[in-house]
Amino acid sequence: MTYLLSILILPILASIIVNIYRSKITIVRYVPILCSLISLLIISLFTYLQYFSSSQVFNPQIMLYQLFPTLGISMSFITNKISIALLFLANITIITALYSTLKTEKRLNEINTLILLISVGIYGLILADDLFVFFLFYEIAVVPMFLMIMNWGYNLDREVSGPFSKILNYLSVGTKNYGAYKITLYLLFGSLLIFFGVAIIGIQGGTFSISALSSSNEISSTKNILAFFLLLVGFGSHSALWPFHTWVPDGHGTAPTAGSIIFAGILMKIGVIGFIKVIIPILGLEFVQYKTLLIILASINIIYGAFTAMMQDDLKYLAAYASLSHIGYIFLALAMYSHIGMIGAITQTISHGLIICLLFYSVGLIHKIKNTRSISQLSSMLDNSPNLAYVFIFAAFASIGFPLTSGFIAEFLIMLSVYLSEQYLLLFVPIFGILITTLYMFRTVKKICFRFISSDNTNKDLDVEDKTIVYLLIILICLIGIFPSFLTEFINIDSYYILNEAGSWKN
Amino acid sequence: MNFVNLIIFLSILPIVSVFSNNLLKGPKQLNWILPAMIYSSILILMIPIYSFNVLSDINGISSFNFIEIKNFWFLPITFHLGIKTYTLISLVVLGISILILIFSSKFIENESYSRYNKYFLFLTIFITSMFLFVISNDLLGSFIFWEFLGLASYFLIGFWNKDNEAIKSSTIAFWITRVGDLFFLSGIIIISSKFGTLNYILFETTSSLSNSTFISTGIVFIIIAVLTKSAQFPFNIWLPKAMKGPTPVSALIHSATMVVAGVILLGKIDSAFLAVSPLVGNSLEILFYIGVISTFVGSIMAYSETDIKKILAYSTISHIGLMYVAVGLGQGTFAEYHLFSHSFFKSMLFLLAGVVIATLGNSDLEQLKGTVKKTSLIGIILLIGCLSLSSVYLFTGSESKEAILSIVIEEGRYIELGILIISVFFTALYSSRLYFNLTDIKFKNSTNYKLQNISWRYYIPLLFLALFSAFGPITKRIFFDSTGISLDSFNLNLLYVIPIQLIIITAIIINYFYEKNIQDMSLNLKKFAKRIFDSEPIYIEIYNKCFKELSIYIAWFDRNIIDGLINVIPIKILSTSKFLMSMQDGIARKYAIRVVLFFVLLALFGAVFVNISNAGVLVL
Repeated sequence: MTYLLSILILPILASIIVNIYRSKITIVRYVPILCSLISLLIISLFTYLQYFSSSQVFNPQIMLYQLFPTLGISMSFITNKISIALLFLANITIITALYSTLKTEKRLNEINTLILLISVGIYGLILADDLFVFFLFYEIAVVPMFLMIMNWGYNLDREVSGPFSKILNYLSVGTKNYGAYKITLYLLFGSLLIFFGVAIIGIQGGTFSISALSSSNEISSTKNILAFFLLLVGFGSHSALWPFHTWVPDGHGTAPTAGSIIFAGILMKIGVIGFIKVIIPILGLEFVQYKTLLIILASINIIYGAFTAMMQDDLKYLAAYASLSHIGYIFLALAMYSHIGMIGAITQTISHGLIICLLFYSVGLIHKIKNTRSISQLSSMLDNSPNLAYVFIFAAFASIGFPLTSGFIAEFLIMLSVYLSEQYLLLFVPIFGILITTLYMFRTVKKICFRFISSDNTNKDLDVEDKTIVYLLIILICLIGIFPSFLTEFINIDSYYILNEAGSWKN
Repeated sequence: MNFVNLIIFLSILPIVSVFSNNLLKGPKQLNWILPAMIYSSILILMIPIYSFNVLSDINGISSFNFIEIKNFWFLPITFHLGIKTYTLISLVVLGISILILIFSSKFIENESYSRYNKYFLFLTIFITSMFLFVISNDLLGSFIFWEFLGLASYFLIGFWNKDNEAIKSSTIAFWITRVGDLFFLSGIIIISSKFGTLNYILFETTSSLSNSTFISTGIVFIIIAVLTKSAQFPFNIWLPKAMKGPTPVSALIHSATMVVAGVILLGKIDSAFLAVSPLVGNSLEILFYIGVISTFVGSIMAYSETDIKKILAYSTISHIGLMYVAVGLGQGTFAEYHLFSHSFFKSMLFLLAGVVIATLGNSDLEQLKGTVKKTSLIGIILLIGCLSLSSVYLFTGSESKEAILSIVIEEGRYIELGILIISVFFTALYSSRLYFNLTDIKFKNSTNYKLQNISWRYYIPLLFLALFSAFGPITKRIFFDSTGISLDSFNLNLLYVIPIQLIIITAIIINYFYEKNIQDMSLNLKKFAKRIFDSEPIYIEIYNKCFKELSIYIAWFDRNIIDGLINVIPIKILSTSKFLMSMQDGIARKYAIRVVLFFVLLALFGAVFVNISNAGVLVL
């Protein structure tokens, strides 16, 4: 699997090239995309050789060198089918983000460099087999966001009231400075907790290797409970688990389109990856013990996020709260702690990643064309820019879980897992969530796409580059929706092992 | 290749053809010619196979696994062409669809190129999904195409989006049907998790299992879904609003196919299976009463309207209500019989309204007085439609309705029967009113015969449908051939038929001579009906109170309380740092005091710490 690790080096090479030839606009534009496509090719090649052409049962594992031999920390990586699926998602998100920056004129090479750096972080994080390495790549993925928002973000006006209005006004909420600082501090605080949690696990277990830790028998102890809660809050704040979610709307609202896409598409899934990779295999006992808490938080996420999204006027805030609600489904499915729940959670992770990429991409285009993101001011999209309007409507249909889109499969599996867990009344939560999603999505569609105002006649539409990426996303969403068995079969066995046999990462 | 697969493949082709025609910027007319040809070819392929009964149960099935998790769980989608009743209904769907395609091509001729394409794209999506819905043989497949029906309906109602009312209607229709769809989804999840299968055939063979609360709950949820899609009593508001869409769409979607999809669905969930559990039994009882209410109120509402399309919309609600009366009494076959006959005359009348609107630009009955010459072809078609609608004997609409009424009699529900008879009376009233107002039968000296020189693309669909609406015995034979019930065993008791016919004829005669009087007399009844059917304020109230206001409150809470609380932390850190900064004031005396204080504190702390650790050692 050594050649798979070249996807960690390639983006760095590409970013060097981009910065050397910063005046050549073609190179700055297309080298990063080319690099991501090569990564995609490498991942596909690896998947084919590893899982489709041979009947190897072992998950490939590699140790490059020792980092801190005394602590048992080493630069080691591992893959399984779930991480391959997540790698594909990460790659597609990065490609979408790179496409969204194509029209940026201001310091294109720098924003592309940042995106490439983030991609290194995410790939490494997904592949890491060592808690310390996991944390290392995690930090690489988080920090560039600060620069991205500071330099390419948007200022918004946010009205505040209530008991804390003084504080909020003092901090000048809504500006990109505020957004950038908030997102970074928030996530670094989360990563601090993760660091402590990871350190407790590693020092107690005598090794930092995830596969070794998860295969050893776990003994319940207070330290483990402490580690569990540290990781729960840390990963939870990264994945916008209620009430650690308030960075999501501000972050998305002030970030440039590329930032929003990366954030919603993959960075917000880091918490989920943490759950799948660290908490459930290593701290399974504590997870089972406290899963009711997670169920409650996830249910709040679903309903609360959807309700908050309902009356938003800014399209990005709407999408941000919508993704808050949709990530709740992932946690709900994880908390079911069952085979179908696990498959549902991973399917929803991938499905939501694709759908939200599409949604944010179209929102970014709408903003660029109409110069506003306010729902009450937008109109006549269906008449003036029909293709873009249909893309947005498609995203809306996909996010309400319409059949033959990936959203349906994910929500179906999640609801099934909820019902199979014999908590019958809990089925109400996802159903009600979808209902509210329908209300706010189609209220928005009605206002910005169908409503006709004759004075509104900016008729720019998708160009070739937009079409390429948008249709790619649509095709992927539909493919998962029409042939879901391919995905569910692919991740079937590994998601079974995560739950049933600790240490099954090695099979 | 399996024959069923071939049919499914062919049925998807029209969508592909319209879509690629759109991409390649092909000629406008291909948009309807290609789908019409493909659907006709399916029809031509299926008719001999249907009539010679070639497809038995086994080779008429095509099935593939939709969601599969190996060694654990899977859900297939199945299509079945072997059940003759549903195959017949799917043929009717195709036939009417082809006629609608021909009609539409003329009706929306003046639209721009892209809108013309869009119209046919969604129309073909609708037709295909309706066809696949009818032949699908498990709940999952039904659900998927059921949703697509809603999607196509959403886009087609909102087709004229320059009209603000149209987009409002389409959104409301979508929301209400979506609520039902979510009930359907919950039902599917409950049934599949407890039953392990969603296949209709397996339901029948394992129906002994059905006596569990879970399955019953699932079925009840599906019944609620069915009511929303059929615009029955509490969910009735969207159908009259949906009339904002193009008229051919109303003819196809909102009269003949989508709104009756629920009848087909409940028919497929075997009626024996339905009646097993007491919960389902009770909900069927409720379904029966909802059917009665919808029939009754719908017919009165239709009588009180003056807009042709709205009259037909309420009439549709009323007729579907009658179908649910039959379903509620456990007689799904009769419901399907009425569905079958209803689809011909109702879509014909809608198309006729479409002709009127297209040529005269008006759909208000008061302003259209005497515009149709009664001896012209269109006048005769209108006569057939109205007679069929009021179910005069030997017309298509008559026997199916009387069959349902006769079940009600045999069940001994006389109060409900009385209500239904009143609605039959009102049905005759509004259909005759339609005829008397549109034609010149009462306005002898009318000179404004504006309905002339109608395009052949309007005439062909109308003639075909009129043919089917006019000959009741023929359609009856066609339908009963498919069910396997011999015609001899189904004989309506003339004792039931004659009084009903008398009532209908009386209604028509009264309406001819005393139109004004009967209008005035039914004023109170109309008000009552309006009050029952006018549930829109309640929906608006629910939307405003439960969703809008709550969401505004929660959003405010989120932005200002939770986010405010979180923001306290950096503020506290900032103020602490300011406090600490103020200590660096450069006054040497203060520094000296602090140094001394620090050492004193350190000493104290050290002493305490040592003590504690000593104590700890002692304890150990």
